[in-house]
Amino acid sequence: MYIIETHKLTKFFGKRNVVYHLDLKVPKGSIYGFLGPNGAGKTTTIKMLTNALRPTYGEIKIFGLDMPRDRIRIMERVGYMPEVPIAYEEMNIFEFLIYIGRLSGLSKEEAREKTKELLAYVGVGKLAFNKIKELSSGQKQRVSFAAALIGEPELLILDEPTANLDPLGRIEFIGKLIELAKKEGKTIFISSHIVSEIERMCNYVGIINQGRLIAQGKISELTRIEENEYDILTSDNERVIDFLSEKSYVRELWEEDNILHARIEPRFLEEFFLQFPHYLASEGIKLKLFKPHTSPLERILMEKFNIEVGTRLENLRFGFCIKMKS
Amino acid sequence: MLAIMFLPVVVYFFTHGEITEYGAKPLEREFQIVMSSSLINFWVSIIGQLIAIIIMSDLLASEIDRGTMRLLLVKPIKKSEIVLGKFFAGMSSLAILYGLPFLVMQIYSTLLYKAGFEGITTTFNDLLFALGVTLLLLGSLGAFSMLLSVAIARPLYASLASFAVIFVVQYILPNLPFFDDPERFNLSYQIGVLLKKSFTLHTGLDIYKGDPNVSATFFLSVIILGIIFTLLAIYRKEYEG
Repeated sequence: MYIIETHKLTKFFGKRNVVYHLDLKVPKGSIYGFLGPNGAGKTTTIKMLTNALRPTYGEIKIFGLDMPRDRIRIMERVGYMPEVPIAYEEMNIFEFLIYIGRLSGLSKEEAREKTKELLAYVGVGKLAFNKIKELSSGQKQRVSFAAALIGEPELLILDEPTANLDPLGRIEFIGKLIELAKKEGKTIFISSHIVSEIERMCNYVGIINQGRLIAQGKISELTRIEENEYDILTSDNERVIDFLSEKSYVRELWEEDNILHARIEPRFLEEFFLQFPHYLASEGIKLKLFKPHTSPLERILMEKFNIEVGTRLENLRFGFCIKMKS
Repeated sequence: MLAIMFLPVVVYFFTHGEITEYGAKPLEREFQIVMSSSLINFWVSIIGQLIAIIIMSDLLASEIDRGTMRLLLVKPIKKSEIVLGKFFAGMSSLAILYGLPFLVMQIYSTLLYKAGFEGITTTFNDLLFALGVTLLLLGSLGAFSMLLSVAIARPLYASLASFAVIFVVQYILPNLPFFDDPERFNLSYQIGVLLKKSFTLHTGLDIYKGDPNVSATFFLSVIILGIIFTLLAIYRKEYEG
């Protein structure tokens, strides 16, 4: 069953086509990463899903219900966190969350209880009586996350949720999302342009570029296994270099920041996997790191966006770092 | 704003005439005269209208301007509830803003006329009627301001635009040769017409020609249409920001 399903979802702003024939399929209980460069149409899509924008044409079904016809019934089960935290700046966090809780249909008492619980959960308990305008953007982001969770939604729609968080905050946030999906069975639809984040927390991905969905599905199914470039770190890199440079199936070998990068002839991958571990064991060399040079999701992106091989995407916002082949 | 609303009370405090007859009956007549004159010359004049426009324009425009409208749209509440909730919240503010000085005026004049509790009960209906017609007139202004504020979505600009339109409709257009009795298009004049219905002891109101029922129906229609069109505008509006 799909929690979010769109059919030919399209949005024009004047003559400009921002989203075109988008067929999203977000399965129940998944963490669905909606990935695309800046200006790809992610936020516009989310705004259509949350009824802030009307589609030019196309259908939106959430929980099998029609948006916007069944907006009220849908929104009883949805939590939304916008890209830029939106709040009543003059209110303090406690008042704001109670207000949002009441709007979500909770009684006054329920809203108070849930607010206290969420203040601790998102880590702004000590700031409960501070006005929202006095908070940092990261703290506002946490409040916005609490506001999305207050109605105990089954579906969370999060637009660039980690944009204002510090590195520790990001790690904590990702952990919480995984926990929400696994323990509470929530479906999470999260837009981002940070590849490493999506890869870490999502099991499904939809890749959007220039308003068109160019790939969608389970990350594990979309990724190909025939990787032939590896990062290696051992206790004695020099001896490993000597060993590998003699092998004819090693097409390229270079060292960068103490990490060896080896490109293996694909036809001889099996031989490499048999000989290399055996060599390390026989020479008593410890293997500290062995991983594909590019992450699986990066490979999908490189393929779909026709990005030059070797461009590092990890931990970078790929809107700024993609180098398109002309 | 509340301080501004109290100005007529302060003026009455310093300028009321000499009292020759005390009791509830002379009080009621005096109260009707004072309230009529204050409403026509101040409370529903240009200053009162401006205050009502500022309050009512801000209700939806500030939600759209700050982006908090999107917070409301993702909650299980109807758009009609948002519009009606805002309208009645605005009207409640106006009721307090106008009701308090009206009440002080009533209590002060009762004390002046030494009419006691009987004075309060005698003038209570007049007080409610004055507040009712004031809210009817300001409600029509408010509904129109809310409609413009959805289109303009900036509280200040929406207030200015509403005020400009209402000023033109009251003071500029009626002076064109096609209109007879241009003063009848003025809200201050219309409050005189409406007050005539209940303020029977104040014969001075007879100069305001017109049927109070027709005026009341007109302002009520403006309120209903204003709310309906505001709702339609909210349904049609897209929230890009």
